[in-house]
Amino acid sequence: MTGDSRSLLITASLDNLGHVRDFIQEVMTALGATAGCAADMQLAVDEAVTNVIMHGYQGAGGDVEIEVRKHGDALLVHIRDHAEHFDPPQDAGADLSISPLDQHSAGGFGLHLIRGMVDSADYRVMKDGRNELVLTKRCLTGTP
Amino acid sequence: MSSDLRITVSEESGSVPVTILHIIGDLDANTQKDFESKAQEIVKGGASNLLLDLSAVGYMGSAGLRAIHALSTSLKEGGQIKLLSPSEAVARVLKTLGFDSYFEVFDSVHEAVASF
Repeated sequence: MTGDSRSLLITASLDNLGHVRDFIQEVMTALGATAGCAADMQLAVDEAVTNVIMHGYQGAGGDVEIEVRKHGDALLVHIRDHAEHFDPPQDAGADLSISPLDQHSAGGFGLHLIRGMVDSADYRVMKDGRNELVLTKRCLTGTP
Repeated sequence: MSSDLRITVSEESGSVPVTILHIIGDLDANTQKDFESKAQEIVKGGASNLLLDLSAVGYMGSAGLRAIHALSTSLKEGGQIKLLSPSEAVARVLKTLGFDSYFEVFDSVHEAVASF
């Protein structure tokens, strides 16, 4: 752990979502993020970690590492896991031109929230075989 | 902030009976099932005009919106769901996913009840 980086390791259980949100709020604030920026990233991370737990590990357990670090005027959150590889296509997500009441299913809302809350969301497979999703948000310029 | 959820229920009478679900805590993927279970119990009991009081919801993500979506599709014809007093953060989520265009949102319980 360095001055500009903090990590959290959790068991992939929905019971840990509150703990993850608390961690993001605390660390982002400590690293200088505005309240609004921290809240946006908190939402995006919650959605992403939920996806790992429910769709990646499919409820079977495993570990999820969440690292928050500062890079220039941006804060980055790295979410790493050993689940099945999954990178949703760029056009995946809810069709917001249709009323939520008319959606055949409510899937896709999570992806839309992630994209709406951060500046970028980049997925890769690491050399050690883990999935890594990196959420980036410029939080340190005085603008939320 | 923990991932706990509690729901209390009250009834108001406008031009029609309105059932108010006071949701307290975080509505996330972990607590979604608790909300849905309680909501279905109320719908099965005959309630069809529902006002969701979000004033004490500390966090709501897509799971919460999925739960509201599921509840809306489970109502019998003519049933309505309206929303009351979301926090700024919850209102932002509603707006981002367009829910504020399809669900009426009120700041006053009296206005909300009168609107049914």
